[in-house]
Amino acid sequence: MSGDTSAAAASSAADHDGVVGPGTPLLEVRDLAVEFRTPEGNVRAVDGLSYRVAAGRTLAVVGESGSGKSVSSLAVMGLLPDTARVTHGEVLLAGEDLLSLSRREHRRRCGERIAMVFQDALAALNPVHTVGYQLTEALRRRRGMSRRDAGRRAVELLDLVGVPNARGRVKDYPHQFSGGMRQRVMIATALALDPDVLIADEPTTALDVTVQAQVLRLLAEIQAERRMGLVLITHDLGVVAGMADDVTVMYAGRVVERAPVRDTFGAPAHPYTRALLHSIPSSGAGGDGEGRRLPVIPGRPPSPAALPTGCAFHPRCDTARDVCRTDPPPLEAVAVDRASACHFAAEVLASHDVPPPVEHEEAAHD
Amino acid sequence: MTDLSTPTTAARAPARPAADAWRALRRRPDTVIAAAVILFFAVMAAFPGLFTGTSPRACPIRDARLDPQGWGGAHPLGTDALGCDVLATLVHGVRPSLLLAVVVVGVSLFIGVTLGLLAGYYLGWVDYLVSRTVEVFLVIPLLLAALLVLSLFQGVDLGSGTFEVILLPAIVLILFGWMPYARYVRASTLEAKNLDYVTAARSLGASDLRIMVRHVLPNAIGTVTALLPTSVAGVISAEAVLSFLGIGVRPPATSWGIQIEQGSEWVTGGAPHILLAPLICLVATVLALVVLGDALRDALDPRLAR
Repeated sequence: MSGDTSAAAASSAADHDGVVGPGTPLLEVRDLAVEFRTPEGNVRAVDGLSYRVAAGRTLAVVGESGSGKSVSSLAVMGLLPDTARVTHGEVLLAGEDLLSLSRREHRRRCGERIAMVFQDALAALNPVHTVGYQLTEALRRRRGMSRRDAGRRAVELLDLVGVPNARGRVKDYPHQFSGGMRQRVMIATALALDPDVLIADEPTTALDVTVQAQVLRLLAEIQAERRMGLVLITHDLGVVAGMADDVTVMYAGRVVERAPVRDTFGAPAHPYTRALLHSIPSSGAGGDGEGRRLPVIPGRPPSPAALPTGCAFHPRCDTARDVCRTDPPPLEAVAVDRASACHFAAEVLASHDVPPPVEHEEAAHD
Repeated sequence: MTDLSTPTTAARAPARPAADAWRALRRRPDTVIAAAVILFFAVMAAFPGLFTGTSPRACPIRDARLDPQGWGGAHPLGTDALGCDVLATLVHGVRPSLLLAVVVVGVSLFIGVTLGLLAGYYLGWVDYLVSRTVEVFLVIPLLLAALLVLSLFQGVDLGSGTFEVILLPAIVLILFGWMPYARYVRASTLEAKNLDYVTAARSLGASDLRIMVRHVLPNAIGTVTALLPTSVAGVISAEAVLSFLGIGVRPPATSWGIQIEQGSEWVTGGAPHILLAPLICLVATVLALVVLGDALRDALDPRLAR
């Protein structure tokens, strides 16, 4: 439908981004730790997460299920369940610590300054209200917009996210939309109050592959247009390669590597990142590898309730040595703008074990 | 060029609420009939004089248990055991019966929904308090409580206005009628409040009250709407039991409940019409409410519409 035009816009937006360079951080998370109360005791789901997002930049937070990436975004938005609490850390939104605010004040910043796109749009849209109502509920309530103005704004928002025949569809209910259109509505809802930072929690996981590409292109386009900071939470490295400027790789609640995307994908500085990149199926690379099995990371991610001693990744790591079993590696700078939490980061970085090139989203699906 | 990408669902005529509603109604004639039945009884409650010229209190005992005489006769539906005109009693009994039903169901619904929503949403001590209260009220027998209220109000002259005659049964029935609503709403609230759309509303900065009323309640109320029509029937017949104890609708006012209670003695005694007339009216009302309840649920839940 609107695919061709937005593809062009997205690629030009990406070029534009490169010129601007990093600005002041809009959102900065410092040393965030989140604990869950469980019958077995307190379990630390996020431990010492730090990242920063500047206007017009996209940060990807990557990790397996249970690595704490979703929990950290819920903490930023103040949406943690009752059983969880932030034990330490700061979430600075334009310099103001959200976590030190009262619940009410925190909630006021949400939507207005920072908004979130959820994974499953069908579940995240209320089935009993029209999309028009949901798009403008916040506007009417918080900006005191009249019903008529809100109706007009709803059509604009739907147009913005590329829902065809927006005027005819504002009165429709979420179940009358297709999956991709629903996710567009979800994005429009998050954009209604014109936030500075958008957190997208696996925004395309519930969609099929062709629609994923469209929705991601839309996100990239809108982000570039509005110079928003985008935090993209995902486990899809193809998405990261296509969309993000910087990447933060999480494992078992901790950051294991932080770097610009281009650098990491060329030469990872942590064995976990390297293993992740190796386990992406690629159609073009490795001509002699006919029938070769796809490398996988052996074992499974540890339960946050029973983390291994030392480096949490050592039982699955191909370069693990004795020191890894006893001493947890700190996150240390390995190059300009790059940090890795591995005792042998320099070694891994220098090994030139270059993983196969990750195909970009656009290339993969068009 | 025409826009081929326009989905067909969006191509329908611009929404005109009145026309839409009428079309929806035409597709469901049972709704129209049900609405007509309710309207009929509502008119009867408001203007009993339109339907009968006979006073329900003129009860010559020599005319007791006359058979129905058909329209045009002095007693179209016959007379009851005391010689009162059945039609007149029926017509004048509509107002207290329906008023009682609406007041009791309305107030208990309000109490139950409020408490259930608060308990399910906040959990913790609020839930503890509400749940224990529900359990306490569930184990107290209705009749025992009725006798208690009766003794509390003994000797208090409540007057004989429209509301005064139903006050005592209303208090008793509300006191013991709100628990099911609270339980149902609490259960559906527990289910709805953890869904993503509630989190999404919160992420856009919605207040607790707004989330409860606008996002949780519409999704939690479905099970309760199905309960309402039968509750109305329950209230009307429970009132009959209470009137047996002397705390029902106060004489000289009369109600369907009292009529059914009295008529049931004569079903096998050669005068079934004394029971049948109010019973048929009650059944018609309840059926109409069931149909309207269904229509209401469909209207509230867009997933079932169209």
